[in-house]
Amino acid sequence: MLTFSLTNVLGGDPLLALMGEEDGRLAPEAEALLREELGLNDPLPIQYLNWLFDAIRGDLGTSIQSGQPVTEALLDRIPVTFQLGMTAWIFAIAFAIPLGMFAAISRNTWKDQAATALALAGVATPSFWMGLMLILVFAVWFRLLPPSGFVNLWDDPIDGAKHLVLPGITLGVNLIGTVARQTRSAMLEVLGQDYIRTARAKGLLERVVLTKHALRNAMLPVVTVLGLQFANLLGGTVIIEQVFAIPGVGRLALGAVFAQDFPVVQGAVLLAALATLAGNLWADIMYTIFDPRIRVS
Amino acid sequence: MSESTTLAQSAPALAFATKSKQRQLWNLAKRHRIGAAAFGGVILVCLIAATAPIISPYDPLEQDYDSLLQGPSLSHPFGTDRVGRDIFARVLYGTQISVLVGLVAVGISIVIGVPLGLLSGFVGGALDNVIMRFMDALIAFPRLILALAIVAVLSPGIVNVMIAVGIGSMPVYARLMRSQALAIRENQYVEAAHSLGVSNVRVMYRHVLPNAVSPIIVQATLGLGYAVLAEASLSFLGVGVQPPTATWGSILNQGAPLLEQAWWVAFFPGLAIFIFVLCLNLAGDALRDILDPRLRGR
Repeated sequence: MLTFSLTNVLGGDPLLALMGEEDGRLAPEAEALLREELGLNDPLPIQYLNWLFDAIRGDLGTSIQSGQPVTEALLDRIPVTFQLGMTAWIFAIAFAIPLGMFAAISRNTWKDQAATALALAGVATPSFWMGLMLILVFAVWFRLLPPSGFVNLWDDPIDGAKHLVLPGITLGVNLIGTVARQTRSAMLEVLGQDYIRTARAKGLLERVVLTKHALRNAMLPVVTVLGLQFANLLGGTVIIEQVFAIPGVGRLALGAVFAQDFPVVQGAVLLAALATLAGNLWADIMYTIFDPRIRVS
Repeated sequence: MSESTTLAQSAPALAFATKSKQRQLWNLAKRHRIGAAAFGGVILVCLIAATAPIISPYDPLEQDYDSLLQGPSLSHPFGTDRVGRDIFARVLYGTQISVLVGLVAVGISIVIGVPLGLLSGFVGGALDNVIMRFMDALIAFPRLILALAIVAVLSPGIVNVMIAVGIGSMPVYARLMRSQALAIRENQYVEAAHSLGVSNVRVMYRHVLPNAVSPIIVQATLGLGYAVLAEASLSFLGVGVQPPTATWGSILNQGAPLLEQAWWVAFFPGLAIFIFVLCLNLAGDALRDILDPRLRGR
């Protein structure tokens, strides 16, 4: 409902958006006919229900700019954004969890402060600036990686991976900060529990205590944050795809914003909401893996 | 006892109280050195914003065709852009927009979100359900995508950016205030106020709200950092504050295509954003530690 209201209520007359403000003005008879045909004479609740039933059937309308069905345009670009998002996610998990663990183990030492500062710096770094600086260093100065563009991983895995390194790191850096801080906090909570003392008293190796007993139990809040951040990654792709000229959903949405192509904006916003649901579902599934006591009915 | 005697007695007491408060502040700053330094950084940035027209060596819009794309030097510490505008002056003036947008956006979030959260938590029932389901719906959208969609509908510009960023962050404050109101309304002093016949509205504003201010202040400090980043992101994408107004995001946008020949155009405004947001986050963390000792060291 929010997606519909955003463009159909706040956005003013959809016909004006379709025809252009001034230039595309039609004769009054033709305008009336078009309004009837598009269902714009119906009351807003009826328009909403029509839009909702179409959306459920996968029909999100047609792009004003290109004439392409919105669902088709989104489906073309979802694999691109998915590959970028997954790279960032894997990169963030690979760095953030060890960083958070390291900070928790070295609590209140200079190592903890350095790791926390690193995590905070990650959160404070504007992704578009970081992307540009990475391009400057690794693509312009050292010429190690391509500065922009996209190659599908299935078409050419090596070139595809090369094209994903810089945007993946850029997109993942903010996530590292958030996840590392959550991991540290959760690990501190768990490390103070009796069963950790028992595990150490049994003479288990510290590595086993930390990974098998502490980390597993500390993962629940971390998984929650990772699930919640899944949709935010999609938000981040709007910027990253622009910086690295990647033809994904984010770039499509931005182009639609400039062109006032409301059906595409609506589709992208709806997709973002679905990504939020997918993130929450993923977190729920992961809970059952990390804590078998939780059974999702 | 005469009035003059009372005044004479209260003056040293007042001086003692002031000194004691200063000492407390000093001790607090010594305990939270990084937080104190971050607060200093935030105050410095606000001062720069307030005095930009005085301290700026150049007009941010003045074009000098004799010094196009000059690297950092003594006369232009941050270099110049492709029409010869001084980047240092533009970054200084950009501070004004960032601070302004940040403060107004956070203000919008608080003005709408806090009363809604207060009502939701205190009144409960169907009203709570309606308000919170609306907030859930807003939270389901990534904040940047929501801000982008709002700006797309309302058209780009400084006021609409403030509205977009403010509305996007509103649910955070509403949820926070609701959780506080739910806890505070169970306290005995609230029960006592009710039994004395105090109206619900008065209880909310005299007893619940003042006791929930601390977490809101902490969230506002952290939210300011997010608002600054969001404004810069929207301006970088070209849907925020429009040229020729200098904002950190728009300077970066103009610097992106010049990266190979003039890295400084994109580097310095990004550094300014990074330092300001880092200071805000560190200051917010320190505030949280001070106001909620249970979270200390977490």
